[in-house]
Amino acid sequence: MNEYIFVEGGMIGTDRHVIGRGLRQMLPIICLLLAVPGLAQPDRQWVLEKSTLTYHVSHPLHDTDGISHAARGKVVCHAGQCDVLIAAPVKSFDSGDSNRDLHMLQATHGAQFPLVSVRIRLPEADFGSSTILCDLEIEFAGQTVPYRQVPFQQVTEGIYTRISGTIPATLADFKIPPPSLFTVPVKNEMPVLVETTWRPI
Amino acid sequence: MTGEVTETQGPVFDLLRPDNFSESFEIACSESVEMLSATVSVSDMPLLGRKAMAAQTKDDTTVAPQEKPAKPSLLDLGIPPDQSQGNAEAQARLDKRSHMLKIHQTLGLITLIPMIATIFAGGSAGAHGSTSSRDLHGALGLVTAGMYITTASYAIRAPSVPGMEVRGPIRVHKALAWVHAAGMILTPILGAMARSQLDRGEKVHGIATAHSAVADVTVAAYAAAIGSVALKF
Repeated sequence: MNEYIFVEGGMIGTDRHVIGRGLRQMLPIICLLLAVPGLAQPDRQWVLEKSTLTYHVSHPLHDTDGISHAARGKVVCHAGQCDVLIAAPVKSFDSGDSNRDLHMLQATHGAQFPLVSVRIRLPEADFGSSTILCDLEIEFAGQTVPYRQVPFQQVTEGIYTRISGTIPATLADFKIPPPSLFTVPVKNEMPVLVETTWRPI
Repeated sequence: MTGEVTETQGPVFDLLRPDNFSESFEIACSESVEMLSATVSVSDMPLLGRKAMAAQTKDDTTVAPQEKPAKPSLLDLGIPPDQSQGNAEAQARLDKRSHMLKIHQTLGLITLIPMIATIFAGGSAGAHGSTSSRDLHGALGLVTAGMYITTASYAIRAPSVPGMEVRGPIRVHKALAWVHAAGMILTPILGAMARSQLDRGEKVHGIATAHSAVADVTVAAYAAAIGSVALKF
C-alpha cells in the first residue's frame, strides 16, 4: 500500500500518510495546477467598447438612416475558434423622426422581438487579416437569417480593434412588409452598416 | 511511462479518493480548489500517485468530455431576460396605432381633393356668382369638413406610446395641425356668414370678408403638413 510521492524530483517518503512540510506549503499551488488546465477557460475575450449600427431604407421621396449606438457585444475565442455575439434593442434605432421609428418598431415586430442580434463563428486566425469574411446569423423580427461571406474590414489601433462592414440585408429576408409613405412602399434593400470597436478583457 | 505526454481528464475529486491520499492532503485540496474537472499529464503521475492515475484513466470512459467555454449569451452582454422577452400587448398597441395612422394618411390625401375643389369652386361663388355655384362651393366645403374631421379623428384616437419623445418632422406636422384645424373651424363659419350676407343682397362685410383668406391659409397649412412628413429637410 506504499505510495511514492515525488516533490521537485526527489522522493521524500514511502508512506502515503507522510507528507513533507514543503509539500504541505505547496498544496494550494499543486491543486491549482491540477485543476486549472481542465477549466473551460476561453483563450481570449473581447468586449464591444463602442458601436454604430446604421440601417438604410430608400423611398422615392427621400432616404432614411436609422442609427443605434446601444449595441453590446462579446467575442469568446477557444481552441482556435471565436464566437461573436452582438445585440441591440430594436427601439434604440433613431432615424431622427419618432413617428417613423415607431412605424419601424411596429413593422419589425419590435415590441414582440425587442432585440436584434448577430452571431458569428469564425477561426481565430481570421482576426489577423485586414479583411474578414464572416458567416453571420441575424435574429431580427422573429426571423433568423444567415448571411454568408460578408466582408468586414479590420484595423487595430493600440489595444482597440475596429471592425466595420455592411450587411446586405433586405426586408424580404425578415418577412417585413415594406412600409409605405403615401401608398408608395420603400425599396426592399435595407443595408446595415456595422461599425464596432473592441477591446480585450 | 516517463516522457509520455498523453493526457487524461476527469474530475479532480475523483483523484482525491480516500484510499489515494492522506486525509490531510484531501482536506487541503478540497479547501484549496473548487474545481470540477482537471487535465493531468501522465508525466505528473509520480506527484499524484500511480494508483490514483490508474483509477482516473479507468474512469475516463465514463467521464464527460472536457467542456468548452460557453458561447457568449445575452446575459453575458448584461441583457437580462426581461429585456429580451417580447410584449404582445405592446405589439398589439403598435399595430393598432400604425393601422389607424395609415388610414389617417390615406384619408388625409383623399381630403386634399375636395379641399382644392372647394377653393376652385369658390372663385365663382362670390358677389357676382350664381346661387348654384354658391351651393356647389358650400357642398364641397361640407364634404371637405366631414372628411377632415374623419381624418383627424384617426390621428387623435391612435394610441400613443408611453415614454416616446416626439422628435423630427412630425413635430412640424403636429404644429401645423393646430393651424389648419383652427382654419377648418373658422372657414365654414365665415363662409356661412358671407353666404347669408350675399343671400340678403348685401355686400360681404365685417369678419366674413376674411373667409377666402382664412381658407387659403388653411389649405396652405394642410398641404405643408402633408409635405412635412413627405419631404426630408
